[in-house]
Formats: sequence, structure tokens, C-alpha cells
Amino acid sequence: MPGLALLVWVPLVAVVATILGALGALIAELPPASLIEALAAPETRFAVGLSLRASLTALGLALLLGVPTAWLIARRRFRGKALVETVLDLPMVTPPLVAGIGLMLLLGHEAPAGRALSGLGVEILFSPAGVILAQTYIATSVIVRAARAAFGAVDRGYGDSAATLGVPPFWRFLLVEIPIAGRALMAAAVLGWARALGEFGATLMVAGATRLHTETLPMAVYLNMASGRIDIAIACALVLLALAFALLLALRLLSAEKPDPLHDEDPHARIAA
Amino acid sequence: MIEAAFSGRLGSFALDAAFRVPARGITALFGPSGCGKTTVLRGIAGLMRLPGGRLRVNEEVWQDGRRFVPPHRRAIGYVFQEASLFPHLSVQSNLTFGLRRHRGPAQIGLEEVVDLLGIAPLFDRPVPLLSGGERQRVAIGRALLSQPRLLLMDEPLSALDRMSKDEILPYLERLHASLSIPVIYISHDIAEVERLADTLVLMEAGRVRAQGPLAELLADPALPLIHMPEPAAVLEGAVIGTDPDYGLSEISVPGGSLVVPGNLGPLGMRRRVRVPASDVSLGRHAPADTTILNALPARIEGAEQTSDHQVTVRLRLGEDGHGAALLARVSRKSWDRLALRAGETVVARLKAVSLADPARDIAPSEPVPPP
Repeated sequence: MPGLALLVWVPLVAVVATILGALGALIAELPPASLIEALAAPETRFAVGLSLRASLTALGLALLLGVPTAWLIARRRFRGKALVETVLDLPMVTPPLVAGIGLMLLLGHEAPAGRALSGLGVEILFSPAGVILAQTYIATSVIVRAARAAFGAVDRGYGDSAATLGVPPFWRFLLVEIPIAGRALMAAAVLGWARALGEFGATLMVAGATRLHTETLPMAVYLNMASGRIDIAIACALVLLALAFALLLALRLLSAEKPDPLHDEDPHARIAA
Repeated sequence: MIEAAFSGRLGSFALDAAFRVPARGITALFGPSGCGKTTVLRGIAGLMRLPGGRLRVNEEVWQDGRRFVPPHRRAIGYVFQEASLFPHLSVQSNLTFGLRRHRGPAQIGLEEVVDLLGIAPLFDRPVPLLSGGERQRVAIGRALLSQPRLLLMDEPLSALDRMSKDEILPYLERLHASLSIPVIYISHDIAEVERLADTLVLMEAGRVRAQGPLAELLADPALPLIHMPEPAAVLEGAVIGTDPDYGLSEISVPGGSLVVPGNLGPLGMRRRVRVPASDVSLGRHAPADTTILNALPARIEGAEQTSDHQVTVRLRLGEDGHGAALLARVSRKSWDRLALRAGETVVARLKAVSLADPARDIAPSEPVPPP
């Protein structure tokens, strides 16, 4: 059926070629020596350091906030749940720039929340803390959604079993539901981390783009493209790409199918056993 | 005593079930799918808080009014339909999961349970590679090791194929024989109930239709059990003699004694036999020159026409009619020809008498070989 073959293969080739083309253009733009030099530049090193520190902190916070929230949504029924779920999904679908403006206004000195925080001596806007806040905001939304599906896939029977075996609710969550949802939760964390690393719009609004202060990797790409230091911009872009590639690989490994513990057994595994 | 009463509406389903059963032996909650058995069992476990519920197990009140003991504080073991072994733990960690959380001395030891259920060969196998029957055995062991004072089983065999069922039933019978923990067992399979249960709670559309000793309810004309396609009587008694030459044993049951094939164990051991109604014929006199081993005097209690051409006769063993209940399914023609009436004494001839619990003659310390 050449018609069908044409219909499905041509788009595939076009998409893959575009992706590889953009990637190749990025890599080919700089001679290797300049690339190494740009990678070693203090500004690049600063951006890598801040991005890793901020995104990992944001990931930790997002997990602390997102995993219990996801469990509650997956397991409990309460009044207004549908509304709460919609609100929780909102940051994921609003343009980050818009989310960022909202956060900026919320924490500005004009707003009660901002005044209260600055009364306590906490300054978040236009500081590295703002970077963490913006990244946490976006990552939490991603993690809530993915972790909710992860918990939803865990049969309630496990929690019930643990209850009848004398395990109180908090420990059921920790000893049974989290480990059983383990791989899916790790995948959720990887997705959240990826979103935090690449976060730009909300960070720009909340933390600003200040060289060597709130300069994450995406921010460094933006600032250096704007100021003409293309070598640094490309070095930072390539670091982001490498990290994204590593995360994708991790995700793929995590979601590689193990034999389903409840149902289908892998016949090959069985013979091996 | 276990006293349970649960009522309330769950969506469009109205539950109003109350029963009072002895806190020993196996009590079967029997009824068609959707009659509320599982809801009642989850209520007993505390996995579901039914608003209008009362529950007392021996001296402990687990639910009454505002009092509600959460499931993890109830000394129960629960075996689910689908064995919910934790996939992230080994067989051994699964087994000892509840044991490790038990405070105080353990009445039921790991070794005893491993022997009883023949689990030792499974220890090194990953949970996902266990068969359905093996999983269910481990799940039963895990429940027992949590040191329950009440064991709840929700159709533990229903998700298994015929072969796995036959693999597990002997273990359940051994459990019954060797442990003193009361069991509430849900089933919609009358054969399982006939094999295992001592007490029967018959449920129908969210209500308890009848409750009492199994043998009585099986022969109760007011209940649907007698109208099933293959009704049977279950008789229980002690072994009073064996004849190794002919390979026969004699069991004393209320109102008579039965000769049963096989060496059924030491004198005094209690065994259960099942007598299908279709294998019982009736006569006015003791038969002469017949191959039938069991011909017992019995008194007719009553008879129900089960179909156009069949009558199910309810009998009590013994001349005085005070013995065990027996059922006979005879053709309407013979019933009319003999002109039998309630209150008359007849001789019941039992063509087939089989053990309801064929595997219990295996010594409890030996593992049962897989079928």
C-alpha cells in the first residue's frame, strides 16, 4: 500500500530530520575548541551550578508537596474535589509567563502576602529563592498529575491488606503505597525535574534575568543570545540538551515494563526461574 | 459469640444484615453475588464504616454507635479474593509482615504456618512468579501470622481455577482441624460450604435470610438450598471402627452409623460425609440381598415437590426420628406408589456416601503433595 506508506513515513522522516537538523546546527555552530572554552567560562559554570541547585531543591519541595497531594486526590473523596483538581492542573496549562506574573504580583510589596513575607525578612522576588519558587510552582503541578496516576494504578487492596495486618494509615502510605507506586513515582519525579530545569517564563517574571545572580541555564541562553555572546548561549543550550537526554533515558528505563505483579507473568522469566 | 448487625444504604443498595454466630469453627456467609456478603465482611474488618453498625467479637466491642475501632487495631486476619501480596517484598517478608507488627507473644508460629500451608518451597520465589494458588496460600499464612482472633476470608478460592481450588481446599480443612481461630468465610459455591462450614448465614439482597448449623439449614424446607439442582445432606460424626480387610470405616452420626470407604483415621476422629439427595432411595423394609452398605431407619419429616416428576423428601435418621437430617430425591411415581407420608418410618438406602473432606486423613505435619 504505497499510499499509506507515504502518508505515515514522510511525516516521520520530516519530524526526525527537523529535530536532528536543529540539534546538528547547534553543535556545528562552534568549533570544538571554542565550545570547550565556552563551557568552561565562569558564566556557564555559574548557570550550571545555579540550575542544578535550584532545580534539585525545587524537585525536593515539589515532591514533598505533590506526592501527598496526589495521594489525597487519588484515594479520598471530598467536597469540591473536581474543582481542586482543576485548580491543581492550572499551572501546567497556563503559559509560564502568565503564572509568573501572577506570582510576582502575589509576592510584590503591594500585596498582603508579599508584605507579610518581607515583614519576616524574606525576600523572594528577584533573588535565587525566586528561581526556586518559580520552578517548584511548575514542577509541583507536573508531579501531582503524574503521581496521581501512579497512586491510582496501585490496587486499593494493598492498603486494605496492610490495614488488616495492623499497619496504621501513615505507615501504610510509607511502607506499602509509595514502594508499590515506586517506579511510576520516580518517573513523575524525572518529569518534574525536567520541567524545573527548563523553566523560563515564570522564572523570568519572579526572579528576573540578572547575570550571575538569577542566571539559570535557560536564562543564560536568553541573556547571551540577546547580548551577542553566542558561544556561551550555545554551550548552555547544549548542557540543557545533554541533561534532557539523560532524563529521557532515565524515564525510559523507569517505564520499561517489568512483569505485572498482579496479572500477566512473563513466560520467559518463568522458564528462567 | 460474634454478634454483627449492619444496616444502611450504599447508593441504591440497602443493607440490613444481622447475625449471631459462635466464635469457633467456620461460619459461611453464603448467598448470590451482590447480596452484600463482602460489604458485611469489610464492615467486620473495619475497612468500611457502615453507619448503623454494631459489632461485638467475644467480649470486645469493635463498633457501636460512635465507637469504631479502626481496622489496624482489630485482631483480624483478612484473606482477599485476589491475593494481595505486596509485590515489592519477598515471600518471606510478606509472610512475616503482620507478625513483625504484633505485640506480645505469638500464638501461631512461623514454622507451624509454613508446615500447615506447605509454603517452605516458595520462600525464594519472587512474588510475581507464584501461581494463583500459591499466592493465596501465602496470603492465608500472612493473615494467620498476624495473630488474629478472627479470620475473615472473602471467597479466597473464587479467582482460582479448578485445579488450584483443589490444591487449596485441603489446606483450609487442615486449618479448620488444627487451629482454634474462628473463621468467617464468604462463598457463593455450595460445594465449598458443604466441605468447610459448621455454621451457615444465608444472605439474600442485603438481608440475612437464615442462620444456624449447616446440616439444619441444608435440609430446611423453607430455604432455597433444598431446591438447588443437587441438594445434599452433610453428616458429621466420629470414627467408631475400621475394617482394613475391606477398606471400610464406620462413622457414628446422630441416629445411626454409616459405612464409608477408606481408612478414615484413628477411632474418635471427627469426619464429615456428604450424602447427595439423588443417591438416597427409600423403602418400607430393610433390603435383603443388596450391594448397598448403608440402609438406615429414618422418619419422614416432610416432602417437597421439586419438579413435575420429582419429590425431595426430608428425613431424620433413627426410628424415633431425632437423628441427623437427610434428604432423598425420589420420583413422584415411587412416592405415590409407596404412599409415603410424613411421620412414617422408612429405610433410607444410601447408594453413595463420600467424605466431604477427603484430604483430612493426611497427617497435619506432612505437606500435601500438589495434585
